Amino acid sequence: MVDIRVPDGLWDITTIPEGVVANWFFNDGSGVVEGATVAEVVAEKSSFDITAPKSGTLKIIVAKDGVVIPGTVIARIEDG
Amino acid sequence: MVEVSPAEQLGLAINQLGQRQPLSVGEALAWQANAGGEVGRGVRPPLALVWRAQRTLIVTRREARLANFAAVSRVMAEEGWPVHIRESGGGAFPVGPGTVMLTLLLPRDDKHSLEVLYATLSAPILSMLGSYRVAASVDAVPGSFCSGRHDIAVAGRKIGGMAQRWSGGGGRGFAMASAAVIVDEDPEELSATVNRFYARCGVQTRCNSGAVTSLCRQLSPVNVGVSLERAAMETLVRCIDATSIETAFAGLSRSHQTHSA
Repeated sequence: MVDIRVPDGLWDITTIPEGVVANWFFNDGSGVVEGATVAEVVAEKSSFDITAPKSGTLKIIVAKDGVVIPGTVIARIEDG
Repeated sequence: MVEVSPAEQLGLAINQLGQRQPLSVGEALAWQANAGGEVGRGVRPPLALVWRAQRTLIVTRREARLANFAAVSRVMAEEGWPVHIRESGGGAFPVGPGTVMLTLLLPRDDKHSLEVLYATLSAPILSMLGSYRVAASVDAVPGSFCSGRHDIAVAGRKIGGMAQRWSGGGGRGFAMASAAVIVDEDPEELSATVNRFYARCGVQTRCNSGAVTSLCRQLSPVNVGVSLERAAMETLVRCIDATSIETAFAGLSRSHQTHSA
């Protein structure tokens, strides 16, 4: 099992306190391949694609519109 | 011996588009997305693009989901303000031939931060404005359209804005950082355009034209020549070459060299 997280240090939380998961491009439980863009995180005027670090089954932890900061685990990839 | 500029030493290509005829925003952003993909895959060097656009109200995907968006867009287009949806966040931002844009397309490296890329993007812009003796800074300007912590401000008024879009990943993505500088546009008309859009979409948000300025408004009339925006483009290109952008950019450049190896 591998975490999908908002990259550590992606933004300075003293400047931008939080971001949100703007979109999930796969449903919870979907099979995803390594490198696929699975989600989009938006922090103020900046948006980031979040990609799957490995192939497997997507388990969403933070739903769409959920608040995140750098380092937040937003989902996990389970084997299978 | 051929001199190589600091930018060229870093492998940064600088292109200038729309000097004579402003570009269609849709075509420009599509080109940038394609070029960004090539930068991410390492088949094109990092790119700094200085460009101008045709009159367009650029909105976000979130705003495109507002009530009556399609109908409102048709009305705005009939009034001379076609609407185009962008990928980055923020709010509605009106641009035109008097707006100068700077877009950086760089290999994505998640060890870097938004702040580094904003600093890299804003450095030549602040230098360009400084060459006109206009003291600018990166700061929030409440009350302006598309307000945020990374506005470009002059004496408390917004003269430009910045946004970023980091696409893809897994060692093949790209980061696009874009800035728009209001060189010779009417701040009142820009603000009124945004307010009309929001009002028609049923959004309470309103911006204050007093919170917006332009480079033209900051200069004395005797210093404003014909086509200030074209002169500003030329100056901005020189500032990309000459500023200490390499300090912030060097880390990103090394990352590109790693990707290309």
